[in-house]
Amino acid sequence: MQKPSIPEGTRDFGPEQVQKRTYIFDTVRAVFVKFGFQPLETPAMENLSTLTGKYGEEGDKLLFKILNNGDYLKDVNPEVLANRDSARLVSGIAKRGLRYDLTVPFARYVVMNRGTLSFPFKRYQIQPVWRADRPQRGRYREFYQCDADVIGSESLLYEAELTQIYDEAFARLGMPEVIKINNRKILLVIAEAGGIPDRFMDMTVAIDKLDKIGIEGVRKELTERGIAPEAIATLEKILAAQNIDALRPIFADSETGQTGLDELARVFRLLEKTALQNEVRFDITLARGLS
Amino acid sequence: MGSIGGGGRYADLTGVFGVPGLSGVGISFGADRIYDVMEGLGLFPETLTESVKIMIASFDEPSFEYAFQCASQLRKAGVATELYPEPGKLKKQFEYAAKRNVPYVAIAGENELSGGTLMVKNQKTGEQVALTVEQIVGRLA
Repeated sequence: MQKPSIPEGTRDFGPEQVQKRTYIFDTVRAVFVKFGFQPLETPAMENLSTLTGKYGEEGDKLLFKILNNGDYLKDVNPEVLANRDSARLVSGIAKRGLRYDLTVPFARYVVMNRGTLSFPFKRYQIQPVWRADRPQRGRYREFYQCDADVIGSESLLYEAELTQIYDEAFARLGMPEVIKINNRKILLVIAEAGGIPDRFMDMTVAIDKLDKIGIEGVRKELTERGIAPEAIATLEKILAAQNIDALRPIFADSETGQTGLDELARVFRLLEKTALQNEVRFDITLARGLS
Repeated sequence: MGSIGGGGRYADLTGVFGVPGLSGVGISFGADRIYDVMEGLGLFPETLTESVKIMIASFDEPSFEYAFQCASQLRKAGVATELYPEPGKLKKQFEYAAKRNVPYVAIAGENELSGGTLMVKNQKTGEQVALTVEQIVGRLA
């Protein structure tokens, strides 16, 4: 007798779990709608040409590929087969893959429909994505993403509105949160001040962990990533600044730095007079998802 | 607990597909993390898993047929209703209702059948009251 199973890293959701998950999605969706976002759904499958190269080298490895239908080995170069050249073989036997996130399909949709969409185009999308990651606690190979994006405007209005969406959604769900905001320009200027603009990613990945591993931990991680002690000392001095005003003199000579601070101040000014229900805070170390 | 969402701005979201210059900004909610936090803190409303509002229990075939008519009327009026599939021992029927987290159980007994009512029990308070279908709709719909 066959023992039933599901693929590693996937889950069944029983009735109670679906009810609870639906509650979360309905709550968030209602807030998206209230802010004028429109729904979008894209196929589970995308052409691999759409997905490949969009998520970095690591991401490419984590794409689930779909074997072509029929006699998929028919046109494969025998040399590729003989050499067991997996990388080249893949392009011959799989032309589609499973959606890895919702952002790339969204960008693909926008490009394909740019003639009929009105910009700024605001869409929300709640669909599963698939990643061939090693399953761990809290990390799955199939999971839902719940995104809202605006494309076609540089206005900081949207930074403010997206913050309001977080605020209202968490308030409706009854979970008080701290919403943290940073500006990439500020991180760029910090890297410049430390003389390590070429090590931007190494720097941000490390300092992003400040609230988790503390300043000692960050120092250790920066050192391990080969950042010189003098540079680390400079970074530490800047990171000690707690607010926008404290950073003004530090960035006195940097136009980029001042612009970054102006932008942040503008977002906070817009939000200032609205009745937010969660704490919204500037966090100079926040750098998630920059890659 | 780590982050339960994140977002940011891309200077150029569509350039890779040959349409440069479109700036994009967005956020993402981490549904799995939010679920875990809410479960841990007991933030889900209790009524969430009450998919069915009322279950009807019956004794015998006539009471079962009466209960079937009542269930149809309740559903027509928008009340999510379930009918226990076999008439008979009440204990078994009540146990099923409790497991399903059904807040009200209605009994289609002989008196009720002749009076055109159902004996409705509030599963939480234990309070029982004879109600017509219209009265049940008034309370539950």
